[in-house]
Amino acid sequence: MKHITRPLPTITADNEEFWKSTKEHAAKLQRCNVCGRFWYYPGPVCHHCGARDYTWTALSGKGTIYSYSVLERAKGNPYENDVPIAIVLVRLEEGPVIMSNLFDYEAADLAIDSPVRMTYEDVDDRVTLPVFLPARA
Amino acid sequence: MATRAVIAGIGESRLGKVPELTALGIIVDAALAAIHDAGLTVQDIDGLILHPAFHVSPRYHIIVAETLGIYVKTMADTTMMGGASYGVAIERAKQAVESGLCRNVLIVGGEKLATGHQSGSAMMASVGAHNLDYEYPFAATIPAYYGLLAQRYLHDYGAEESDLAQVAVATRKHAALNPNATMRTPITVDDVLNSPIISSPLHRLDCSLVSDGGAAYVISAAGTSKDPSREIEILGIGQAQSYYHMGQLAEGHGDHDLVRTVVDVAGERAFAQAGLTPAEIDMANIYDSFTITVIVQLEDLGFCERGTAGQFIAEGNVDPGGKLPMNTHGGLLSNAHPGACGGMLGFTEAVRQLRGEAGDRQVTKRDNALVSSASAVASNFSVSILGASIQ
Ligand SMILES: [Zn+2]
Repeated sequence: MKHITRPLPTITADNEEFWKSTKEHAAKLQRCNVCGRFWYYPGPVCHHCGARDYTWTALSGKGTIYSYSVLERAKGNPYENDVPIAIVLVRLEEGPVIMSNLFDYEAADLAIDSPVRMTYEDVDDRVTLPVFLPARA
Repeated sequence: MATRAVIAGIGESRLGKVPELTALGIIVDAALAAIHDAGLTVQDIDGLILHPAFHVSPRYHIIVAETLGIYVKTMADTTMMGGASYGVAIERAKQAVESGLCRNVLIVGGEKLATGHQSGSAMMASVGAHNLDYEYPFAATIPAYYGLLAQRYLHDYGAEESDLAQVAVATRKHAALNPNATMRTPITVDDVLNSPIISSPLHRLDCSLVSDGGAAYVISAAGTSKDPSREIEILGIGQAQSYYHMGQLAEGHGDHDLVRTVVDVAGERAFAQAGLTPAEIDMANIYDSFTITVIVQLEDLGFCERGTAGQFIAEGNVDPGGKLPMNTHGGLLSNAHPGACGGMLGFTEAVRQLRGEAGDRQVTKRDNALVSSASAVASNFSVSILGASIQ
């Protein structure tokens, strides 16, 4: 995977379990114990039904591309010298849509509804980001 | 008789590159121009609303009041709705005037995106105009967010990049008639498609300008200004906000998602209050941060069917002399885009048109004008329908 100079997220009590799971290369999201749905991004209450009763649940890592954009010019941003960067919205098998990057792809892989799989980028000692690769048949 | 709020005065600072003025200096120029246009003095102003510029005090609205010398106010507040702020502010000011809270509300904004910050887009992303924890780490920029919206739009409707480009081409035709517009040379669809990609599928000419400048308006009770025949009616106004995290926007709710925005909700409120339908609108200034921003609004507001905005524009409907002249000043794409207050220029232009003071670019039918403003990846909107003076 190519290098991207990234701005990093702030780890808080609301999301530390998520960032701990990505650090372990086994991403989890909150799944509501009342309505059964997952939500993203992490937060103190079920985004769908308002319940505070949830379980941090492992993700399959499977998803499909909901949309994509290849960033080619990013003057003034920390990653301006790292373009082109493929930015994707991925609909996870579990339901939520997450923003991430796609790596090691061919032109045909970058298409809406194409299957992708989650992998991990260890950015520093603290932060590992969930990123994606094409999931070719 | 109930008090009716009107737009009593408008003002603009110089637009484009204004290195000699601070943002505060731009705000003062615009504010004094609007107060003068209404035939009022600073002492007549008792309400103030603005959207604070970036990297400044949380008391910025008070600093502006102190600078202008407006000591006693019965309303001084901020609207933090990005580009939509200055539509939202009109509704707040209208309510304040009509309830008796204020007599004359000054709404003002001014920013220095061209000569005052590292770069408009980078600055907006880095201060959290978008999600810092779950989006910015993935190298999203504002053009990238709109690129994601545009790519999904093209997919859902089988549209082409050339459909997006139509917006830039039509807007430039209007800008050519505005002597103050930054970009006035006519362009073609091929020019847009041959301009460099910023974030696919958006090319440079799909993206708005980065400018300095500001604008202001004064909202007063009808009959307050020096010439009530120049007062502009607020026929209808509505707001709607959804989310700003793009994944949550994409998941959607009911009939709405990333591509099918909530601007229809804001529009329904404005149309209902005005008692008008889209077909009865004489001209429209549609917030054009990017070409795709215009495409989804034209469709969601009911000016054309979903998936057909590119064709609607290609047929000449929004051109000078068309049935719905659009962004007659040249919009954010070709006139000027001084950040969040850029949307104010759609209002000041609509006021000039409805007064019949728009010079070479004067529209012929000028009973009403729709003005929209938007922000945060087409997720929050304000829609106003203004009317010519009835005095
Ligand atoms: Zn739930």
